[in-house]
Parts: sequence; C-alpha cells; structure tokens
Amino acid sequence: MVRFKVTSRLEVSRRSILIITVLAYIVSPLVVLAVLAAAGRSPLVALDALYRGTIGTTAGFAESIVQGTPLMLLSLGLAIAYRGKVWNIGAEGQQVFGAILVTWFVLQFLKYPLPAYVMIPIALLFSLLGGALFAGIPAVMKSRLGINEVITTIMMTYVAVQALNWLVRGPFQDKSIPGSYPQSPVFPPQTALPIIIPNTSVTVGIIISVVSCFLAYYILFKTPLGYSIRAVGYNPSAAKTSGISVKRVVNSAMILSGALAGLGGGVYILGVTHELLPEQASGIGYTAVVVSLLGNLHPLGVIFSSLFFGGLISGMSSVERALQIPRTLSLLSQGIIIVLILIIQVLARYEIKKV
Amino acid sequence: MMVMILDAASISDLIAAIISLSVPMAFAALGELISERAGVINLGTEGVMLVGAISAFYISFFHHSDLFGVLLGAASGALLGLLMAFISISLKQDQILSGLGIYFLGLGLSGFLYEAIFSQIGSTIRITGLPQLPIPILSQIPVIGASFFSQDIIEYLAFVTLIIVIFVVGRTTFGLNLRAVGENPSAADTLGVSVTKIRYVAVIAGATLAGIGGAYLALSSHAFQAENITAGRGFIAVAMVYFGKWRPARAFFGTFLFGAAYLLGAFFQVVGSFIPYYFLLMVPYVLTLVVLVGIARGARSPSALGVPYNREGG
Repeated sequence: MVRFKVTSRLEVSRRSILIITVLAYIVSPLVVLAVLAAAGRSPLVALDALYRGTIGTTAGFAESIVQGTPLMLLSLGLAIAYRGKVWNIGAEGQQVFGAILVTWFVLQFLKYPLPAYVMIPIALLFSLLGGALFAGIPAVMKSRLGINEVITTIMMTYVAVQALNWLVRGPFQDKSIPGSYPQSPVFPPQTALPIIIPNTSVTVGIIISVVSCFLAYYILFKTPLGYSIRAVGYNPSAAKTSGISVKRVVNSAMILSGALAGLGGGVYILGVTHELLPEQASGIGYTAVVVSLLGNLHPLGVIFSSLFFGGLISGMSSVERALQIPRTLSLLSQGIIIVLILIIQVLARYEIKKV
Repeated sequence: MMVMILDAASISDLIAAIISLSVPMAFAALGELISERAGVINLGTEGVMLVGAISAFYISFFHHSDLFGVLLGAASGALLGLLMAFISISLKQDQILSGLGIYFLGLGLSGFLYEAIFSQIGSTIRITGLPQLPIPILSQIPVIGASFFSQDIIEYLAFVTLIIVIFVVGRTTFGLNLRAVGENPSAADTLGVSVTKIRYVAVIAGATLAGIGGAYLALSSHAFQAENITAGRGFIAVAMVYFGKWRPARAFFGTFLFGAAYLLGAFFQVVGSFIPYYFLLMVPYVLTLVVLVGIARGARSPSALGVPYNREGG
C-alpha cells in the first residue's frame, strides 16, 4: 500500500501561493455549476446566464462592479484583521452600524441639505466612525479581558440587525408615505455618490475602495503598525517577546477592520439604496469572509477577489432569473467554496510525499 | 396584563417552557465542551445545529417519526464533525477558520434544503412534535413534578447526557486522555496516547450532540418558519462553555439563562409591551456579551485549545 506523509514547509513559495489562488478561482464557479447540475438544472444555460451577468453585457459588468464595491471594503478590513489572527466575524454588524450613523446624519439635513462636497465626505466619516465604534467593543473585550472575538462580533451583529429592524420601523421610518413600509425617507440627491461611468450605477465608491486597498497595502507592509499586525499573526508569543504589544495590535486591527466595514456600509447606502432598508443586512458581511480568504488576505488580492465575487453575485442573480432557482443556492455555493478554499490553502503549506 | 398572578401551575409551565427552549443549546454546549477539552474549538456548532434541525424536520414531516428525525440529526451532525475534524486535525488548518467553514457550509446547506424541500408546501409547516412522557409518582410532586418530570424523551436525554459527560470526562481513562490531549498534547503523545484519534472522537461526538440539539430545536418548535432557525444559538452554546469555565454542569445550566431570555421575548411578543419588540429580541445576545464580561476573569481554558498538534513541534 502506498502511504503518504504530510509535512509542513518552512517557506511557502510565491509559486505555490499563485497556484492555489488560481485553483481557488477556477474552483469557485465550477462549484456553482456543479451545485446547479446536482439540483437538476442545465449547467450550460447557467453558464450562459453567468456570462451575461458578468462580462458578457455592459449592464452585467457594471452590476458586478457595484456589487464588488462594498464587498471590497468589508473584505479588506477582514484581511487586515485576519493577518493579525484577530477573527472579526462581525463585518455585517459593523457595516449596518456604519449605515445607521450615516442615516442619522443625513436625516438631520433632510429638508435643507448642504452641498454634496460637504454632505458626502461627512457622511462617509460617520460610516467609518460607526464601524470603528461598533468594532471597538469586541476589540476592548478581547484585548482587556481575553474574550473570544468570534463570539462577541457575532453577538454584536445580531444586536445591530435588530437595531436596524427597529429603526426602520421606528425613529427612522418614513412617515410621509401611507402604509408602514420599513424604510427611512429617501436621501436628498446631495448625498448620492457621483456616478463615474455614464448610464450605469458605478459610482466613485469603486475608486474609494481601490484606493483604500492600496492604502491598506502600504499600512500593512510599509509601516511599523502593519509589521506588528503581521508579526502577531505569524507567531504571537515571538512577537510579544520582541516587544510588540499584542493588546495594541488586537485593538488597532479590529478597529481598522470595523472602520473599513462601516465605510463599506456607507458606500452601499450612499451609492446604491439611498435610503436605510432592512435589506442593508443582506449577509454581505459573511460573504466578505470568503472574499478575504480568496484574496489570500492580501489587500491587493482583495481587489481581484471582491470584483470576482461581485461578478459571481451579479452573475448568480442573472442565473437565478434565467433558471428560476432560489437565492439559497448561492448561499450553498458560498458554503462549499469556503470549505474548499480552506482545504486548498493547506496544500500550499504542506508537502505531500510518498513514503 | 400588567399584573401577573403566578400560581403553582403557571410556575411549572414556565419552568417547563424554559427547559424546552434551553435543551437545544444545552446539547450543543455539552458537545462543544467535549471538543474543547480535547483542544479543538468548533465554531461550526451553529451550522451543525442548522443541518441537524432541517434533517430532523424533514423526517418528522414526511415520515412522521420524530425519533428517526433526531437520529438523522445526530448522524448529519457526526458527518459535519468528521469534516471539521479532517480539516482542523488532519490538515491542521486554523481551527477558527475550519469552524467558520463548517458554519457557512451548514448555513448554506440548511437554507438550500429548506427551500428545496418546503418551498412548495406553504409558508408555515407544522408538525406534532414529541409526546410528553410523565414519570409515574415523580410527576405528581407539586411544581417540580410538572416542570421536571413531565417532559419529552429528548429533554430527559439531555439530563442523562449531562451525567454521562460529567462521568466520562471526569472519571474514565478516555476522559483522562481527552483532558491530557487538550492540556499537553506532546506529553500525552509521549505516553502513547493518539492525539489525532482522541481529537477526532471528541470533535465528532461533540458535533453529534450539536446535531441532536438542532434536531430538538426543530421538533420542539412545532413549526418551521425560517431558514435560519437557530438564530445564533450555536454561538451562544460556545459562549456557554466559556461561561461554564469548561465544566459540564455549569455550561449546561448556563444555557437555561438563555432559555429564559428567549421565553421573555416570546412572552412579550404575545402580550405586547412598552419596550419595542426588537429590543426584546436583542436580549439573549446582549446577555451573552454581559455574561462573557462578567466571567472573563479567572476562566482558564485548556492550554492547547486552538492549537493544531504537530509531532515535529513545528
């Protein structure tokens, strides 16, 4: 019998990282098609719809970018946190809270809005602040008391979602329209992010997101803070011995990632919905976990993985329309993709030898 | 309804309702505890519960057998546990990430199955649920009898499981090995204990219990109205292991606090109150955060918790 031995490599080569990344990218759409085939739907029709919903048409391409934009900011934040082994799972709650603060700010100026160049930057600052504040609580609980951040960030997300449900039916509800729809008043045009590609809904949000990724790349790889985050992620006890404050790293990584998630929520509400809806909590914060992994927890990798996933989301909704399949199929595909990525990632870290 | 007069009968109804709401989390917490004592934190518990729930509901609805439903729930839990063990123990992937993967897989799988199986039937699907089995004589005791000795079989099983877990973890050779593997795997390995084997058994056993918890959640709810039926109960169960400082009885009874919190929400939903309904829905989650802060000092986790075991020490 042939036996295999798995041994860990000391150095993970760039080549093997590249190979597993490409593998993950190929595997993801294949999973979607395989799930469809297993559900008894034609993968060919699905492939066609997937093509038209992504790069096949201008509308599909634009929608891919629109979907990928907030996802990029959320995943970027998670990538930074995960680099430091800070397991923030609450990007969903953080982006919701960012959007809630944005809504609060905009509602103060609903009747007499200031010019766009004042409204938009301040609104975006509020979204950053909202996400940072909301992540600050689990950050302190982790750094001061050592409480597992996975549990606290998830609990915080449930709180944020219920707060959202209450606000859109209570204090923030649009009372001017008859009936009681759970939504805030529509924001004034002075708060809408400018559109950069005519006749589409692609806004300046994509520029903000990409610039944030480059900025994060700089912070993570060229500054002392970034170095400490990576050092703590690589080996916490060694980092501590060399004089890095693990507490400070936990706080800054978590709050930075929360701020970026909040910004993602802000970019979404100011660029896409222009009002606060219960659908602000669409599960994008969970998708971002997969996207950050697919981007190899690298700020520049996240640019590609979030646009790729934006395409997958846009493409899947086109598939859902074409084949009349439920939305949960995308959820299932996501679940399978994340497990496969976890397994594929290991391949780069270990050598499998015949013994 | 501002003034409630609680007589013996309503107190025992109240306790019985709290037990029924707590048992799913209690099973999951015991399962998580076994896994964590062996050094593996399984954050996939929520996903495992979801799959256990949908499996049990499927059997109960179409084949009218609640017990087989629980069995299928347990089996699907075991399968997901096997996957968790493979990724986190054999492949040595980070335990947190492995658990998240299992969570997302369970979430996707249960959501998909829910829609695929039940989309044609209607918005609310009802099942009868498990019958009450009063224990003779004991169930006649005032208050306690009706609340503790007049339950369904899975509720009794929860208490039996607690006793078994206390005994196995604390008093058997297997339990000793389990704790050794969680505290100092390389020492256990030197003494000839297979770290991999013990951890596999612990993770699979733990996930099986979570599957049973999910199954009971579905069966005791009588109606399946939502895709995401667990709504964080799996994560609360993980928090309860911390709350219980890795002791079975403390983790087990800790979940009763949350059963009471869920009951409070359900109660005010029916009665109506001056507090917005959505705030009541927040109670279990806020309570978890508060409880975690309260017990944070002095809790000591198994030393090797979260660390994949490498014989070479790499």
